[in-house]
Amino acid sequence: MNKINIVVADDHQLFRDGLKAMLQAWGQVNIVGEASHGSVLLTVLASQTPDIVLLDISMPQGSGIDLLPTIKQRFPNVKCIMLTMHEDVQYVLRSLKQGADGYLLKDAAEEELKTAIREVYEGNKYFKNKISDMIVANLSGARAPETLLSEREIQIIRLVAEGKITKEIADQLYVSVRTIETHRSRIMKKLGVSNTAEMIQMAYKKKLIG
Amino acid sequence: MRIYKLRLERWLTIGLFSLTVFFVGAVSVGFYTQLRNAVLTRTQDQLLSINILKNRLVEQYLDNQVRQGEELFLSSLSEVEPFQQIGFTQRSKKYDWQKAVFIDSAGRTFSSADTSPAWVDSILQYTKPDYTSIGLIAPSDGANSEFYIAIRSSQTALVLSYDMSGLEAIMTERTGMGATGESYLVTEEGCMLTISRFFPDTIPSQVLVDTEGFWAAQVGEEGVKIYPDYRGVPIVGAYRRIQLPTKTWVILTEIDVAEATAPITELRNRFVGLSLLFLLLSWLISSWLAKGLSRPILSLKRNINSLARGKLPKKQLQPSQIREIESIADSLNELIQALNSTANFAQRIGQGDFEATYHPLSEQDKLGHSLLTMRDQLILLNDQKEQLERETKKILVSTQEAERERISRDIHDGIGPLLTATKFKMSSSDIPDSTRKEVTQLLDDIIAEIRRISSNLMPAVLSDFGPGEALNQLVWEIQKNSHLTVRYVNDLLAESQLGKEAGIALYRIAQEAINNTLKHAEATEITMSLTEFEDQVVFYYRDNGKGFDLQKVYQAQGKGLKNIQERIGILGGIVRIHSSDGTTIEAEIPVV
Repeated sequence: MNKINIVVADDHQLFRDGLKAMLQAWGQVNIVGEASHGSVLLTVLASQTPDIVLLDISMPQGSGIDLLPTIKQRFPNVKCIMLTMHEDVQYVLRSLKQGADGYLLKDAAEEELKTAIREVYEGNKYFKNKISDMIVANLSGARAPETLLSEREIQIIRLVAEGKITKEIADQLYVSVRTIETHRSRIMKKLGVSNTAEMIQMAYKKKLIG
Repeated sequence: MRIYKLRLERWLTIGLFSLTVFFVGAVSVGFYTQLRNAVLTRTQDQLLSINILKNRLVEQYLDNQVRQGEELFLSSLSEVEPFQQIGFTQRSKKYDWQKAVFIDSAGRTFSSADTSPAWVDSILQYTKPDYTSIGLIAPSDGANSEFYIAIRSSQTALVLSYDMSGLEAIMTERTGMGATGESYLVTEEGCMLTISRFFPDTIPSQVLVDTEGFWAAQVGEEGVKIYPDYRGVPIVGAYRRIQLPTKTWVILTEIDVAEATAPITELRNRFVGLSLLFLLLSWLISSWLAKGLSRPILSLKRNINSLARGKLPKKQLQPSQIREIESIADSLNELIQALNSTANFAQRIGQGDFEATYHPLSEQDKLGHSLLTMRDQLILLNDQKEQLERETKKILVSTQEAERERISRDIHDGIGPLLTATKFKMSSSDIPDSTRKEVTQLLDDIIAEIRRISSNLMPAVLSDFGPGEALNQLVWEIQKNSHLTVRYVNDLLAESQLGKEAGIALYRIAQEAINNTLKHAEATEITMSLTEFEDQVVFYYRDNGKGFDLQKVYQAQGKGLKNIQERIGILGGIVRIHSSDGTTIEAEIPVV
């Protein structure tokens, strides 16, 4: 079994040393390089071609997440595992969207780290369990491409067309009555109509609702 | 010349009164003089005509006596004898004489009773032959005077004497002569011939008449004039001379000036009384008029004085009966009103009411324009002050938040990795497994604590992903740690225009609202949303708790709510909080 070539990118020397020590002790990986921030990493990557980059998010000259597209573009074969203190789902999602192959917390157990490296090396994605549960839900809520009306606005027209009164719509959408009223006036302005009947009619005509 | 400054009222009173006095005086004196002259002239005319009449009567009377005497004389010449017997006895009844003496050519004397040769001689002594003489006999013993008629030829003579009763009768006929009118005869020596009306008991000849009228008549003048009479009393007297054979008498007809002018005097007295009454009335009317004129002027003066002292009269000036004064009062009212509105305006500005408006009275209304400028300046200053305060607060808040973020990051990104590094170190070091586990657990706890502290200070999600995502995180944590159902919709745009500060503010509001709900509301549900429009972001929050009394919360521990409002205010947004059945918070922040 080949050893897995790894580059560690983290702005903390102590952390890098600790990590390196632990991984070398494991024996299944080669630490082929390390970087303290983004630009160093890119330089390292240009000379070395590791299998995996262990990438920190919070680094002095730009977030690790922001580096992902560049790395993926220039070095398509390099896999990236985010190794970070951030346990918030937003970071996970963002990393996923930007093309990360795995997401790990720095305080994760040693075994988890090893599992993640192996999984990713084998071509799988690795996300921490409790996080991955939420990912599906969040991804399904991905935004629709821009149209004349926003998704929310179309939803409101639909509710209006169903005969719901403003208060009901507000309750359903967790917003205030005022906000619904604002939405409706925006919609009418965008559609160039002046009353609710015309608004619904126009929405049908433009096949915004069906 | 110095003109004494009198009050207007005095001036008017005096002026009007003087005018009245002058007018009444002039008219009175004019009328009086004219009327008096008219009355005197009339009296003079009357006296003159009486004088002439009496004169005529006297002459007639005397002529009559003379004719009788001559008749008797002629008849005596022709029939001496019978005459002698019969003449004085029989004819004495036919004639008025008292005594008669006839001396014939032979020198014989025939006489009636009471005569004496001495008496005849004394008469003849004053007469001339071939003349008819009339003379006066004034006895020295105080007896009544009598006059005689002596008719003489060269040798014969007839002397008849008469008492004065005939003449007296003429003189004392005083019809129309009033109480002091009289006519009397005076001899050429100035002795009265007939009885004086005023001295009826005095023998006339003893009354001496030495008056202007007498002397004028004595030298042949006739007429009427005013002069003092024999008593020294001013009279109107008519005078003329009676030419008698060998003698001249003077006849005077007089009446007291006092009586003649009595009606005039009475009229004058009445006139004076009336004038006094009239003047009194005039004084009253003058002063009433003057008061009527001066009172509104004084009232105007008082008002102007009070204006000068800066005190604005509360009530309007009374309308006056005088048009000019009324127009002044109207102008003053207008002035007062204008000053009032200016003063009100100034007061309102002074109290900080910059909404106060004011319409300058005219282009030249310096005060008004100055006040307006002042107001505008104050508004500007106030705006600047508020702007400055907002800026200051903004800086404070953003500094605070920046500091929090920095500390949060330092802890999270600085200490965190070190601790994890320590953990790695632990795993590769040669220490007993039990100790390693213990220390690793301790390190995990520290890392968790650091995460919690960091997140409390400033969630990394908030600074990296904005409030929409940060609230997601917050909701997730609440739901993990409590039984609350939280419904949250993040409707911010993909490319949200919301600024970082606004994002932090919205997150803090949500945090505060959730804290309130958790602590006080006993709610089971929270509904929350963030909605982004082109020009604003709306935060909506509602719980189904028991709500709270806004006033109380504000007074007691409302730091949080106040904070919310202040933070939104800094960003130019508004917050609406309702709390009755549950609490509703709605915040709107404009998007730049």
